[in-house]
Amino acid sequence: MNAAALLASLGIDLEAVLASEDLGADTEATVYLSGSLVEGLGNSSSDVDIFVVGDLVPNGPHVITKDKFCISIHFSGARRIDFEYWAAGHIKDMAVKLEAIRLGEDFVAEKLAPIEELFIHRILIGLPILGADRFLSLAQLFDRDRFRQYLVQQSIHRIDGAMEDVVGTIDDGDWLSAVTRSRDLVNFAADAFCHSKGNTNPLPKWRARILERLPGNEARMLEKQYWELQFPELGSAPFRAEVAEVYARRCLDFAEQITWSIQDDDR
Amino acid sequence: MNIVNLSSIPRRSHAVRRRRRNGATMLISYNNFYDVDSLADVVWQACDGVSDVGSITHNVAVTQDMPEGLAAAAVIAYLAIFATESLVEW
Repeated sequence: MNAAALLASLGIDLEAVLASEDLGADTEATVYLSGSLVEGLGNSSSDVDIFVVGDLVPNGPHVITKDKFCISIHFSGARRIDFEYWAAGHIKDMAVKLEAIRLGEDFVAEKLAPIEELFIHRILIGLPILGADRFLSLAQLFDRDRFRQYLVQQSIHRIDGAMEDVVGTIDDGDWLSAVTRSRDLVNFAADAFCHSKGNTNPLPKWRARILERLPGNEARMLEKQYWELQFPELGSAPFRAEVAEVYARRCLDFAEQITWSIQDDDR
Repeated sequence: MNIVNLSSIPRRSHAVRRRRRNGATMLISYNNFYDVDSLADVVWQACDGVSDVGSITHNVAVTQDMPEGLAAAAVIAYLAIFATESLVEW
């Protein structure tokens, strides 16, 4: 589905939306649609995210200025439409940062800022609106598989940190922290698995949906374990030591099982 | 536990992470790093808290194409090291 058809399915007129920011076919900027609605993850409250890359400045009445980009906010009925304005130089800087990451080195985690990870993901799944050739050139600055591998490694680093915490809290009998951190661990492990299977969306809020959509028996088995570990029968705090420890150990096993399979797949 | 015998049931310590880097496998326990060769890796992974040393030995002999006696010697030697370093529990 192209951008115009997708927006039309939401009852949004693309031409009218573009006109609200004075964006026409003659623009020199690259304009594309992205975000959760493009991925089929969004809902009736999800924003429409339209990216404008170039030298243009926002034209709307409601503009939020961030460190490296601006958001111009519009509405179409109850649906919020965000135009994100980015300078081409920032995009190229991000591509250079991604290319400079040495995958396999000890600490690749957080080499990219969260907003940069989200931007890269969104350009990789974007649908061109204006300047399709320019959009393609911009998207090709980012190596999808390199980015995916970076996300896998970052997730494993998060797993390692959480595992150290869980082990320490078990050893000390700090069951409140053990249970809390164990759940973090399960989430990081699910992220690692999803990234290993091709997902580049870094947003935790879509984790369950992304896991649900992965095909195959392995994904179904892990999904079942994931939900069992999300809602264990722990009772109320303070937790009984033997119950909390069993839960924490199950979470450790889940994370190790996933990490092993990801790493052994790379042999 | 100082004596390893065929009915002992080893379990991987919950404090140990197994990680691969640049084609090599290491075990990490409380910031201690242990490089392990492929046979040690097989033995450590087999410590599932269910299998006893006898069945681990048999499986190692079959999967690694080793004489049973040699497999037993290797498994017991590795388990002794793992136990000393707290990489397995009993």
